Amino acid sequence: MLDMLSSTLFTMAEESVNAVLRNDPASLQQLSQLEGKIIAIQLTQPDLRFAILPNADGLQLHSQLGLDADVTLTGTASDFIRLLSSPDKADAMFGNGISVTGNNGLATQLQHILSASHFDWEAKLAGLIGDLPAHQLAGFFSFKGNQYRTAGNSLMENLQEYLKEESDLLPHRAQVEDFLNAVDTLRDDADRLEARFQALSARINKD
Amino acid sequence: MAALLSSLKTDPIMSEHNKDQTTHFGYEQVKSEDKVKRVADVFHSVAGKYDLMNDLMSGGVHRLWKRITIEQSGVRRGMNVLDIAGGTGDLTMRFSRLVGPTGKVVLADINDSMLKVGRDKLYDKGVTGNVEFVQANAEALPFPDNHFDVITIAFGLRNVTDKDAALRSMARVLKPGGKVMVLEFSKTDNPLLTKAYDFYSFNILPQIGQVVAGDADSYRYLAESIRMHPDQETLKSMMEQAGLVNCKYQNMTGGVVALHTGIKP
Repeated sequence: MLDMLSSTLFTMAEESVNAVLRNDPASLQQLSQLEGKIIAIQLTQPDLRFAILPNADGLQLHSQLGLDADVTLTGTASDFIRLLSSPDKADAMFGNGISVTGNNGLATQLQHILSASHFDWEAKLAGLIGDLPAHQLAGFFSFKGNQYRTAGNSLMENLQEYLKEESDLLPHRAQVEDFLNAVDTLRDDADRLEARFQALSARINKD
Repeated sequence: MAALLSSLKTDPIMSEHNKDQTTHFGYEQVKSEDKVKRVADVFHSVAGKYDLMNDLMSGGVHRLWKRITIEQSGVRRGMNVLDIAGGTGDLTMRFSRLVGPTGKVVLADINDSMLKVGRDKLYDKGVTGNVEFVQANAEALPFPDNHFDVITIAFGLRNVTDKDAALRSMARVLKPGGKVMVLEFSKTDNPLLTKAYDFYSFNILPQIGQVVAGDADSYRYLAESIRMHPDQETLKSMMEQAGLVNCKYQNMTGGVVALHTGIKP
């Protein structure tokens, strides 16, 4: 039963994506250049792994785990949504979100194809399922993506505050900056002192 | 269901021969030598509309059954795969991308009409280079011993006249450790589902065949041939007798379809 469910989801996802790609011959042509490559996607939230096989007809999706992937992209669902929706694909792929292991060149090629395509997934989906559902779907993903980012940021802020204020394990930023300035001053003083020693030493030797 | 059609592709009818060398053609009893021709006629008739009819008859579910088969095949780069009764190439196309340029997929079908439709479809999809098209009878596969890593036969075995010979032939050309996968219509285990399925098969399916493909008889044969096909346990024991081990099956859609697998020791 689980197989049928998983098979249904993968089939629907694959056919939806390929329906969108069929309207973009330039991207299909570029994807065909990656034919024979296997790109593994490892989602950490939720925990899901699948493989993408680009080809002249679009993308072939596989849930099979044993495939020998050329490159593995790891990140949260939110990171991958950002990759699709962000105007700066390079930052989305190689910035803070997604980690790349394996053939980095292949990841770069994929990033170039995504950048060049300028897919407006919401508009493309609207052609398939209608404007309103597409907008709601896009809104849902965008909302969820933002929500997870906000929740993540909030958690980090709370953690920082606890470590600084409650447990006193970490110093405040101002204290750290004062300390670093003092270190810089000390290093400069030491350098100057050393220079004066060398100057005095040179004069003594000369005399 | 849709895939019914495909079953016809492979070739001659049911495997149960009797002393007078007759066999089943659906519910009819025909001479064994006639079955090949009659099954061929069915597939010549349906080849052009095969994919459309599969989708219509199964509501697209045949794609899910085939996807599960592919996911469980374990096929990967560099492997040799044989897709018997490959018909219009649904499995071959996906296998081709999985094995990559260092592997090979052979699409074999006894019916040249199906083979031509499959070849044209794959070429149109850009699937070239690592696929070969071979017209072959499943009972006497024209390949060397121990040659393939995975062999699939999807909705084809029930059209083979001598299924035992076909399974032995598959075992012969399979590498030791390789896997045979038989995707085929089977027996439902739920009485209500069986009743609904029978009504659909014998009343609605031929009508769809008539309207879409202009051929009700071929689709009636499909329904009958499914009922004459060995059930899950029988097919499993046939695979064991052909020399395969670790034979098992997985029912799908309540047993409407079953995926049998066996390994060559």
